[in-house]
Amino acid sequence: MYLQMGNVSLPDKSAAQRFEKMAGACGIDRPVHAARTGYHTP
Amino acid sequence: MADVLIQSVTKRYGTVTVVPSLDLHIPEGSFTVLVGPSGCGKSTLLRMIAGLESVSDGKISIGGQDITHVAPSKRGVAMVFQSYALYPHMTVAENIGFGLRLAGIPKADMDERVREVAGILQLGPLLERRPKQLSGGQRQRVAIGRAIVRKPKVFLFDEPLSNLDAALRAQMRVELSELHERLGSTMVYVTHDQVEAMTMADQIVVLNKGNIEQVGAPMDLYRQPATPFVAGFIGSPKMNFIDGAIAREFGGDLVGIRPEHVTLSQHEGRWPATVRHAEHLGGETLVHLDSPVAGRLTAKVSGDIDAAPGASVFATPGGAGLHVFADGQRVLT
Repeated sequence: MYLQMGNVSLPDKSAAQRFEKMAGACGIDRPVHAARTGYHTP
Repeated sequence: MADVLIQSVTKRYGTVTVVPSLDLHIPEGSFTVLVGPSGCGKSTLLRMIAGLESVSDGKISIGGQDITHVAPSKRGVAMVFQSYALYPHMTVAENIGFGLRLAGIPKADMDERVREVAGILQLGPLLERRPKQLSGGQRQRVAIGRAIVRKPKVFLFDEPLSNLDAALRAQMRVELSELHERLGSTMVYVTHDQVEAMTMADQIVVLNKGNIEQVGAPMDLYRQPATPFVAGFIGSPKMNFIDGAIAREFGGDLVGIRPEHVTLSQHEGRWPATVRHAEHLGGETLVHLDSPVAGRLTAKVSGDIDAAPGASVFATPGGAGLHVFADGQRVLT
């Protein structure tokens, strides 16, 4: 597992990149990066 | 707030072209609805504006700035999905403010903006609840709140009301229209529902197989559809179409008549017909007819008329309500 964010399972890096794009379109900037760097851990 | 300019935009998946070269201007502050049947390319076009799909060829600009290859988060757009895409473990306030938090906005400013947005969307009493404690309409309002709070240049809505029941959809249509009036922002809205398009848009873009069939104000499309496709897609119940000798009589190869422009009489009229079925809607009745001259027709008449299956009637088209087409285009009359 690449990253688990709340109910969102991101099995690999490409899934994480797709999620990051979707979040970006919603106005949420780089949540995966934030979670991985510990800035935000849901 | 900004306009959106789409210039010669093409989308290909391998050898399959989903959107052939497409040009469209979405004016600043407009509520533009992209409408069409499944597979017409409307969601693909919206996702290209959002940056979720790459553009094969062409250019997309927002507010005069070329954003064709800019990351979604840097385009100044905010998208609202059909599925809400909320974090279930966060409260309403946390969901709305999450984007601001990641952007490093100070907490006091963030709280103020969340409260302001909650006030606009009447979410104030729900700020400490989690998504599972909300109704579908309330969840969609939270998703909209998350979009508003970033003060985007353009709002993008991808069939946001499709998961809601009919009554809630009707209520949300009004709320979204009021929100647009209040914010004055550029909004691009994708739907397959022509009622949503007609009731909310100030500009409708009708798409078919990746091509734009017509762009215009809702009532312009209703009154003067450019093609049989637009004529059949806009308006409910659907327009009646007649070809053959009757169409030639009017100078085309296809004639369209909206059901509300067909009058019925028991004694006289243009086309003899037999009643197949009557749908009593209360204030009006839809009468489905079989005519040996004009084929299958639907007439929309006011009141609860007595039209038993098998009854003989006469149908007459209203002169102003005739739409004549030749070679797939409207014939100017």
